[in-house]
Amino acid sequence: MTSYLFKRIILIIPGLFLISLITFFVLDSMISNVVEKEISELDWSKIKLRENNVQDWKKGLLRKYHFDQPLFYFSITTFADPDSLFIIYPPEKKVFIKNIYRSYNNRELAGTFIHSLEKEILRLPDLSGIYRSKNEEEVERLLTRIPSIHTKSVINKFEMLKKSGPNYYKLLPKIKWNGTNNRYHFWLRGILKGDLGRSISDGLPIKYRLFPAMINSLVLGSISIFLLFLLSVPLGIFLSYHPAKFAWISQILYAVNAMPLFWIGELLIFLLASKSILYIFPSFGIGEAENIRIDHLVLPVASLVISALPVVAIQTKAAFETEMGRPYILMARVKGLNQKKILLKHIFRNALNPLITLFTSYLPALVGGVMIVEYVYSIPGMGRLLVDAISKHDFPLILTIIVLIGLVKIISNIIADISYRLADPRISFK
Amino acid sequence: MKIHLKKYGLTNHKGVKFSLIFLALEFLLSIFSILIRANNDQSLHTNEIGLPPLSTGHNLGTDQLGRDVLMQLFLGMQNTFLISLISVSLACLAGVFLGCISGYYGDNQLKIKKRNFVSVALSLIAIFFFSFQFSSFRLSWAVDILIPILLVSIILFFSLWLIKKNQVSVIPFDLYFVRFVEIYTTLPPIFIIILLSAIYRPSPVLFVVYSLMSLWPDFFMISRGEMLKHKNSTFVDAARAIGQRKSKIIFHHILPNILSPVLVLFTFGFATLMVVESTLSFLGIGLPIEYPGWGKLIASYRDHTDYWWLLIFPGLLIFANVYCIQKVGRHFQKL
Repeated sequence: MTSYLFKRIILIIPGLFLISLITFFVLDSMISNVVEKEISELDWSKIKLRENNVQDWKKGLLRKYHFDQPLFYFSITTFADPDSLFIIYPPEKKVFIKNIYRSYNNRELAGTFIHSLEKEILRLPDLSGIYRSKNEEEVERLLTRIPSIHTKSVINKFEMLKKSGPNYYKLLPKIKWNGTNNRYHFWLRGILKGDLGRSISDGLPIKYRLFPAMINSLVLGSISIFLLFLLSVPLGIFLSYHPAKFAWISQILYAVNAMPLFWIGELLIFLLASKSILYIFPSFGIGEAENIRIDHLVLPVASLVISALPVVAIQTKAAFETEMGRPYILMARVKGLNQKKILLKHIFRNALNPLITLFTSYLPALVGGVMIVEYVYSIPGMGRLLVDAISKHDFPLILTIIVLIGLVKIISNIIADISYRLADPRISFK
Repeated sequence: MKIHLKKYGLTNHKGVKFSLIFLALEFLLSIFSILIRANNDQSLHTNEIGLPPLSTGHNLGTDQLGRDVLMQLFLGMQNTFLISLISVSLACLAGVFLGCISGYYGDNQLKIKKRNFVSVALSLIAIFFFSFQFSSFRLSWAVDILIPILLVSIILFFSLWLIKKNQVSVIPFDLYFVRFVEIYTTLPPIFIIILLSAIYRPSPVLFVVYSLMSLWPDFFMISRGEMLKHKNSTFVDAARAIGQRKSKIIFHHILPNILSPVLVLFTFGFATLMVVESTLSFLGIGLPIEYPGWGKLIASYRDHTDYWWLLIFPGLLIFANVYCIQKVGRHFQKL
């Protein structure tokens, strides 16, 4: 048992590593959105900035989020590529420079051409459309469109470049070791030191946004899960004892099961928290600053319980019904045990497995928040924080929340496995 | 395929029959709504904003922009209903196909010569690398096409020549696949949805992609399990004995026998997807604005709490759909 537990806890680490890796790579493509957004805000506020300053400012911005460093410990490139391609921003410029270096045999000429082109674009910003060109004819056409003395030298360099042959080095793969100076390492080191980084949207440290939201979600989630199992398990047991007599209750449960959670939430607001019918409960928020108030919690908890009740009750009913048909129950009855003892000592323990599965599947909601309910009732919890972070492209915040949800998910899986064993000692760990 | 009413026990279940008729009608209506999409009335009528139900010309009232609610429900049908149907069908096809193959071949059926495996893997890696080097910026036949092809074929032949002949190794195909699915399903589906919607713009294709990605493991696991149950039965042995091809044995002989649990999963997956679609539209990360949907009508109720008909009618429609689908699913489950 302990060795199994130890093994499972050790195995959390590669799982988390995998989740963080996937999220990190996928969300990395959001950076151009973030930087573009900050640049556009800058352009609105300080229109008079000179183009040179804007360039410096962009560089500073990239350094701020460590986007002037490579993504990971190693990168796969070719022998034709320039060394520090990762610094270049925006992405279309990166692609353009890569294309130039990969297409022409002469590295020095390619370097001088790109250098003079950059200078020219600083002078004539209209020319920056050249980075989006797909082939060399297009480059030439765009260069010759604006005739000036300086563009002529650029055109000359391009003509010279065109004379060089194709670059065979681009077919040779090269694995480049970037060392620890990379974005992923930086983020990981911060996490291990307890520094979660800063949110992009408001610049606050992430923990100041995370912990208040987590407390709200924790309170809402734990009350809901407690009430849910308190109500639905007895209901399921009751229904399994009287399946024919109270079939109508099962029918109602099936009907409630077909209602989407957000509709239940909105319906409760419509019925109990708006001027149209009754106005008893507040319809949004969780109380005044930092104090959670019970009347604010009634409707969210009610809608969560109503929407999850049918699933738990029906599963309980099914599990108890199958156990009740087993021969050992008949044996217990024949022995003359009373109903209560049969239920508690014999059936309950054997029917516990689906309940454990359901219970542990609800656990991640304690930390991850219940996105839909938090949205409907405007509760500042984790789910709402995540939706906000997505809409604002807040890369570090999304990453932290997702890794956290992954951690809780893995832990709840371990709890499930241990509880299966505790409920049924016949299950062995291998 | 003939539908045998008696076989599926539909003759004496009024509720199930009614649900099936309702769903079929809705399917026809949503097909029909594509045809009339061209002349739908999406224009704004400033003098008809927020009319209550039973107003003249608008039986179910109008929304906050003056659009007819009945028309919105009708147009939302093709988005919520049809897109969910398409997504669940695709997930079903993918999952059942992979599950059948994985279950049939198992751990000891797929025999591959080691050298074939290694050489194909190596050349696939090479092709993957060269495809990234291909650029149309300055297309030269030698560097972009001829030499890569030459290199790939050299790799292929060298690895074939280097590795010993006739070393047959059995690939535990099923084991690999099941391990992969187990790891894959530890990521919650909401994780996939969030990641995708954080990066890409909402579109119907994106919805199909993430419902496909979150539903196929269920279909895979159930069809694999059924395949394992059936693959050693006598009729399969008989088919094998008369020399039928493997593809014919899998898809012609065994597949019809495993369809009923798949059908149950299909109906429940369909119901779940309808709820997911309307929920995402409600949250504003589902289909884009130009696609009217039931969830969006309810979302517009949030800003205009006086217009109760924006809450009640779409919600009832979602409820009716999901209830009917689940009713049919439960019926199939009992058989």
